[in-house]
Amino acid sequence: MKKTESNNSSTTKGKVDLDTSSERVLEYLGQSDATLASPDAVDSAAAAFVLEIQSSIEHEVKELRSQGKYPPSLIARVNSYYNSLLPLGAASAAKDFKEAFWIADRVAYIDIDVPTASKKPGVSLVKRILRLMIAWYLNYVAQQFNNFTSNLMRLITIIDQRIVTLEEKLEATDFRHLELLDKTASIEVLAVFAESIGELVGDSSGRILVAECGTGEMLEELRRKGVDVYGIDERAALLDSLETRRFDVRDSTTLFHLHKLEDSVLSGLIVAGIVDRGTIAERVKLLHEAKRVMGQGSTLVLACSGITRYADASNHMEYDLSLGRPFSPDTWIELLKRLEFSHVRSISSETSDDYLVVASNTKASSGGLTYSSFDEANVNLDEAR
Amino acid sequence: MEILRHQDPIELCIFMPSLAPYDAMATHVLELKAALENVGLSTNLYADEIKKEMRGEAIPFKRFRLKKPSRSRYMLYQLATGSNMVRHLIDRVEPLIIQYHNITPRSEFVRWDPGISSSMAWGQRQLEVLSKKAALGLAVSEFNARELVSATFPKVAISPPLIRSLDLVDSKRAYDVGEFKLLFVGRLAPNKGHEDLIRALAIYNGAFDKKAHLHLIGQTVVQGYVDYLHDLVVALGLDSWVHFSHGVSDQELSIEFASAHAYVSASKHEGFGFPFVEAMRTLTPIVAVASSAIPDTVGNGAILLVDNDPINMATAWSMVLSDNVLRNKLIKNGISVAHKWNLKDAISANLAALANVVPIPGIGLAPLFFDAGLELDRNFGKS
Repeated sequence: MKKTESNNSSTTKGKVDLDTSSERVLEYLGQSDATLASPDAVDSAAAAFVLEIQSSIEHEVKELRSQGKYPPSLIARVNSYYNSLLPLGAASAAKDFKEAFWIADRVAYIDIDVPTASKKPGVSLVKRILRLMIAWYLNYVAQQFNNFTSNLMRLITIIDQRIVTLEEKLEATDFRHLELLDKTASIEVLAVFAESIGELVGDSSGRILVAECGTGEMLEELRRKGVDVYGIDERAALLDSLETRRFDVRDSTTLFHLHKLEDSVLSGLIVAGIVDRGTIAERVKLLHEAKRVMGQGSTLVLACSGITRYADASNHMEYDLSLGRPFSPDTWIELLKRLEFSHVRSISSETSDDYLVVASNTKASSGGLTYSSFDEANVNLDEAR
Repeated sequence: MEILRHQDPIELCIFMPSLAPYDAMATHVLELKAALENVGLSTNLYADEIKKEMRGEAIPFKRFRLKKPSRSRYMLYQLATGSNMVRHLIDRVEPLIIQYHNITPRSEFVRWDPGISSSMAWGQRQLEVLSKKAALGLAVSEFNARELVSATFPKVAISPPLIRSLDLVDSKRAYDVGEFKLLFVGRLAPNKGHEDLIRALAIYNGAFDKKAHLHLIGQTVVQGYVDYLHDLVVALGLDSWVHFSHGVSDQELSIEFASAHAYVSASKHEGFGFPFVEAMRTLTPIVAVASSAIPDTVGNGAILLVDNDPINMATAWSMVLSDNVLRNKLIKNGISVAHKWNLKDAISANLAALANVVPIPGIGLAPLFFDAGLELDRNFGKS
């Protein structure tokens, strides 16, 4: 298929034939079967055509993103309405539970008072007699059913209480704080190391993700080297600014974005931010997800803040809002080795105590390395210590 | 045991729960009835509910219930939802054939309207019950055929839907001056994914200079869902760009297709998808999410998206609306695929599929999609 042109209406307007007259339809329909692909041929060609088109769409999306056609703020606004307007239960929102629960509770009880009214003469009397005759039977069945539903509602209540308890614990450890911070230390760390990281991954042939790309120094460096790079961040103002500079950027958190990626799709992964501020479980999960999404021979770079940044007054708010203790290079290295990354090493900055942790993914994940629970993370961490 | 009469000519009784105008299943059944009569079979159509406009087309089901069993009678039940007809049909001794048009999974409805979702669950339960009684299951698509096999039908054959061609109309594409028209035809039900089309439209119109209108044609099934769609349209500022309508005639539908620049779908569940064929026949390029039976129906006559990602969707729309090479390829492929679903071949396939159970003079047997190896019990009526 011909490569799709960029969608700029002013340049494509003249080429598009959008008119379809009935003559043209008949012209197509009038073609002999011989000129049309046979159904079997269509079946065999369909899969290849579908894949080809999907690949074109992917390419076009990248192109349009880099042109700033899809500003993250637009996507965020549309998705926000899309999700917030969903009715009861459809959004799986916790706030819907109570109302759905009471509706279920109301219909969970059945009575045996079958309506007996009728417009037809005599029918109402017949119905009343029938009801009287079979009341013993209906009553028995209804009692059993109501017993069952009452127990079911109690079970749901207990499960709800357990979930609420769990949610309360999670909320205490899941405070989203990045939107409160315009600039973070990790932006400076990435800027300091941009050139070094460029040397490490600059000859990659596949896609590289910069997670928490901030003000874009890392993206700039890799683009300059001709690398196919894109970034993610949560700060809409920074993202829109990067879009205007024609960078391919998305509005997402690191873990959420990695979770959505297919296996082995990245040739390189550069991570900042979460490595400083994430909880222990989040950081362990990060490594598991990185292992899964990185292709064989790809490079992982963790850009970490040195301990002196924690004492810097300009970073106090950021670190006050951080949940986890900073990891030392040794801890990162040990964890990465246990996940079968190779050539794991740390690189210090000449001007600060910031550091990089670099690892190669020479043994690609077989797909079974997904992070599954906090317990798993804690066990792995305990082992590492 | 009732005594069966066997001196009568072969009679095929078709049953459907509800016969309504502007309904794809009704079109299919009426075409099938005519085709069966053309090959000399005595055919009657029975419906539990017959809409006013269709009164001359079917006989009330309660009149069938009074009929005595007959050795020369066969029953063909059109299954798409739960129905009171089933309990009467399974009590009869005549051979029963099911033509399965698909039942939307309950999970698509339960969060929006638990009441309506119950009828889906009822239909699913009846499908299992019918599998024990039916001599043959007919499926309008391979996707449906696989569901019949899962429901343990002993024999399954493919019988494509009979889709009348819309009259071709001369119609310039709508909004020629600087705006596009996108079309989707389908009931306003949660499984159809209208909200994903609206979301993608918001992104498309936000990103591209030449805006698009989205025309949504279909009857309301779940009121809460429709309310949500209207709220979403208002919240996204698309009041002037999204247009709802329903109850359109074949002629009006023909004009809608002819005037659309693209047919778009985010439907999550289709048993076949009649409008896709209508789109291909009217040279309307298609962009659809590749769900359920849709890939089987459209083949390479459409852009198929892997999921409902709004950016990919908007991008695919823009490609179809701006790239003439791609448009022409899709249109050409679509004509080939639509040719596969032409009415004449579909009638032949339906008759041949039915012939696996019903003796139809001059009609050869269609190969079975699945055969559990059990012999059809044609010795019905013997105690």
